[in-house]
Amino acid sequence: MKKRLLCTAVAAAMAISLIACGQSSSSDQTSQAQAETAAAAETAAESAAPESEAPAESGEKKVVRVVTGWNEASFPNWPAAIEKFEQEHPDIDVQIEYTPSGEDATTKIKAELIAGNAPDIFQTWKVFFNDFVDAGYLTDLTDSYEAYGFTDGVLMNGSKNWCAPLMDAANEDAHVYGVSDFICPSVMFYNTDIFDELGLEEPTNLQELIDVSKKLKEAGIKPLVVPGAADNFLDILAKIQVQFTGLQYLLDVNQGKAKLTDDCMLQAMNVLDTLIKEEVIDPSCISYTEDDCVAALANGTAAMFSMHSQYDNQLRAAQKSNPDFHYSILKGIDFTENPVTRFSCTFGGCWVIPEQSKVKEEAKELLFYLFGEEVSETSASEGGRITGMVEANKNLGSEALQVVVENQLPYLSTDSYYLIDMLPGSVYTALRSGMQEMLQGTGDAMSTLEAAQTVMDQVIADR
Amino acid sequence: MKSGRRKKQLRNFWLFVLPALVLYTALWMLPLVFNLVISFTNWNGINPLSMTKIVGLRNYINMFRDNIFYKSIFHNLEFTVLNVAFIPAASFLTAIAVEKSFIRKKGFLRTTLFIPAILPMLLVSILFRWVYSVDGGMLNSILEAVHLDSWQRNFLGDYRIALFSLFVINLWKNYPFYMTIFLSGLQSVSTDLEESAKIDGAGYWQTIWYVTLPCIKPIVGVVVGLVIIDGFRVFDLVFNTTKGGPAYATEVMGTLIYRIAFSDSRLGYATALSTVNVLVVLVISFIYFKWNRSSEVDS
Repeated sequence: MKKRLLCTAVAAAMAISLIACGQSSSSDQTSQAQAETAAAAETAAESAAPESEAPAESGEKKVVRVVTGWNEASFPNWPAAIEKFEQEHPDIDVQIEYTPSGEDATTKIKAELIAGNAPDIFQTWKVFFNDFVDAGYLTDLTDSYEAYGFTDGVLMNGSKNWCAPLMDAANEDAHVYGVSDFICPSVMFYNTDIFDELGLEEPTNLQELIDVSKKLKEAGIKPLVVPGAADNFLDILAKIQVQFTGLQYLLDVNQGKAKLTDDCMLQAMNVLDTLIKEEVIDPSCISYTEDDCVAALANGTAAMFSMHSQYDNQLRAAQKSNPDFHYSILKGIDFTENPVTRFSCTFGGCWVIPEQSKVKEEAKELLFYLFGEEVSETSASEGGRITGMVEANKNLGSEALQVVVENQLPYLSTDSYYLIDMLPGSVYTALRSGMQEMLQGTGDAMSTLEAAQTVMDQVIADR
Repeated sequence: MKSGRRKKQLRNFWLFVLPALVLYTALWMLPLVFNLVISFTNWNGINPLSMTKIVGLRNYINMFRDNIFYKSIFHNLEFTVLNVAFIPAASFLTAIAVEKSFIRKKGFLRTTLFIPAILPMLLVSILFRWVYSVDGGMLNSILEAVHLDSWQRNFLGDYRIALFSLFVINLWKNYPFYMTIFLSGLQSVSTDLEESAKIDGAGYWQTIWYVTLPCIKPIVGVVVGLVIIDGFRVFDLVFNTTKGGPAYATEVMGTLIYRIAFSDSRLGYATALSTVNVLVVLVISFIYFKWNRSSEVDS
């Protein structure tokens, strides 16, 4: 009997210690993570509750759970905006969850969607957005665009169709399933001090870019840096490709109706090859991340940096720590005489409302408020973001971005859609790898495109 | 009487084993089985499983047509060979230097040497991105200072040396962990044996080779086994430094699987890749441990 009691006691002790171990290991995590997890669990439980239990009773607030893909610093104006929204809508409680830098919220959201307890609003990226639409997870917001005044003229050209299903991206009457957040045209930042010192004019076409680069090289400065180790290496290709192909070609590639090896894409890749062979793009940047490029431009080892405009924030931060550093954005470079469209642009993340949300109307109210004119004003002035609202962009808190507003935004259309957003991940990785081979002198334009097409074929076959 | 006692023993046995067994099955075996099942489907990780089609062996057939798969597995093998060639030797020699040295503050030395092992890989990756940087990175600056300019390289950007550069980071980060395993082994070697060898005329290195090493042979076996497994598990180091580039020069199975699963949303194919990866590790580990055991028995 004693032995049995002893055995039971030992087994109970083991079980308790196992639970305790679990608790202690979780206590090793940061308190922030704990708080986030707890909040997520709590709100997930609330949103997963049956409709009858939804807080529709008088006096009870409806909770709208919002999950962002970025950290808090990316939305400096939102806390005040949300507070105002809650005051104007006393029946709505907004619970916002930010994602710390470097973490990926999408994996968690996928699991929550499958489990039926997804957030009421979440930010996702174009490639995943397409999958979510195909799986039927997202609420059709087409009518809401009209209802909340997101109409042509008010909205930036191309902004609405960004959140249409991939194959409908060029269709004006497409249904839309989300709201795009911030507009980031592909730009060329340049160090104005270096240009002034060497008496260089802004290049406006390929030949001028090559000539300017020669002078910069003679002065011992890297002409153009790109994040060669990152996916954003493709930004430089996107800049060129958009002038040769436009959107429909990319959609056809996705459907297997066109090949990446087609002549228009080959021409674009040949321009890139020229930039590499003429050493406009410095070969050392094969190991560069975006941060390395920002540092190279800020400390004067490089004169130009090809990236999308969101990196203006990092450059402004660099300028704060080094007031002697000055930069601007080139008005635009024509890589061909008759471009299909002049500028490439990512319209950013897609903010969506899942079908499974139990507070869809409240979520719509909040979503169109956060990206409406009022909040967009402060997103532009305080956050330094180019927004989807035409008027709001007139108050941008960044001098360099004003160049974009004046010279690039008027040209944007669905044809400007960003290459990186329009191709599957493995395909742009294959393109990036081929471009890295070109940069180190072991590859060429055609072999890069052939390798990428092989991967594209695999992806299409796998569907 | 005997059978009653046996029943009791059996019940107690299950009482002790069951909690761990349930946890092990739920957290380890079930995901493995689930992984295997998914590898025969075209699941994209987003659609409900009910919408997923069974595609038979298609993912496995595609894998053997995929050049990047071959590159990745070859890089894992290359990384493992480098691991096996250098990490046990480096950690054993450091352990010997610490254990047999005349330094008094051995505890301090052990702690200092162990620091890289406790650093998170993300931090180590950031640190070494700066060490290897072409723009005023530590290594290139040192080479310039000692007039070895011709040795300056883009260590992470040159496809010929990028994988080796990553291996050096791995060596720096991981050898202290194995050093502590060797240290514990060295402390268990009888000093009588070593002193007898010295009396018989054996030199310092002869004593280590003929007495110390054979005594800790099982530990050497475990270290080499762990190092092999590590070579196939490498992911965070590559992901945080080169992301598999330049031009797939450092692509390993971990980064390939991650990209296919989470950038491409092709979970079916990614799980097929991971199944093969697990099988390769199992086969290599099995062969190694079998060989190691038979050589132990022989000796």
